[in-house]
Amino acid sequence: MLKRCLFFLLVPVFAHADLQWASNKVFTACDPSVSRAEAQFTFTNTGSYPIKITNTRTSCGCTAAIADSKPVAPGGTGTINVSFKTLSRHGLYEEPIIVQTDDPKNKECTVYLRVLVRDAIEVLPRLLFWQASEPLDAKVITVTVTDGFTLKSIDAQCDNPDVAIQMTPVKAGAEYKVTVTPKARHAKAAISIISDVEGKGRKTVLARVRTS
Amino acid sequence: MRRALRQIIAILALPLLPAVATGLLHPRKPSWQSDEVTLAAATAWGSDLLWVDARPDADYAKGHIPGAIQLNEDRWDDLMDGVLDHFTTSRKIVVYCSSLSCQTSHDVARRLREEAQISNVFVLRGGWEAWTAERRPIETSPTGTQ
Repeated sequence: MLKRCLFFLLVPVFAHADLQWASNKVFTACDPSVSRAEAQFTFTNTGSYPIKITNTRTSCGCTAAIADSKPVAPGGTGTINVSFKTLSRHGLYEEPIIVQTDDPKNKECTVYLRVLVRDAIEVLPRLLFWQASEPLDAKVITVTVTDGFTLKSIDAQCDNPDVAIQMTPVKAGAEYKVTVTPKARHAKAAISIISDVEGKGRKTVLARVRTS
Repeated sequence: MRRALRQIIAILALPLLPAVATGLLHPRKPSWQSDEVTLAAATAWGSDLLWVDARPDADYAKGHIPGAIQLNEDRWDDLMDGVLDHFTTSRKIVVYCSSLSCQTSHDVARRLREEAQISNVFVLRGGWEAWTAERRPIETSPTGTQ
């Protein structure tokens, strides 16, 4: 009887569950030609009873998270596979993933997927705007080849004859400038920066011009 | 008594020096300014405001803030012209997505600031849920149009 009482008294004290993440922030980098960035979060159940991931929630439709459906025994490891849609995206993203468990003491925790989507070439700014009060003086778009990529060729084209452009190398193969000079008010133009990068092929990045 | 008071003030003020220095100089200092605005603050801007809807096409088609222009990252290049057709440098852009926990509006706002170098870009706190919670009017239209 005494043993039974001690068991029921002590089990709630010592029984515990805990998820130890190998890392609660996972970073990955990719270029937009890859349609999805994939990453994996790994955890260990350092507690004394099994834990099951009951649900995962993400902050946008661009991120999907799939967890192991089986309970993870004490000392065991589990994974959550996350994929992030990179289509049309650009820059650094930090996507929170809310993980829910069947452990009443740790019902919810958040892990973060950080994705750097970087083009082989960076074009900045991608909008040139002239206000009505502003003279139509030349402005410059800077084109930079991202580290790790080798440029085979680059060109710039404009779809509006009222906007003159000139591309000149600042450092051949690494940096270029496109000088843009509008000749008319209320002009709209799209400048296509067409690059051919080794291993990636041809890609067009758009920059827009507006005058008012 | 005065001396003790001076000493207390000095003790309290001393930690302020490194705190201020950190706040000014630290490379990863937190931003003092939030890019979020409340619905009340945004609507007070009146005609100086351009709403940008960052939600997926289907959500925009079901209902959006009247006059909102669609710009989501799935069709960034297709939709960007629509935003620029309504943009002037005097207008403030307020981006919204579904809810408070939604990150998409922040991502769209960041890209407008970084890529288009538009400075007056804000995010609606609470997003579309904040708008509908107040039972404000909504507009439905085909995607990609106003």
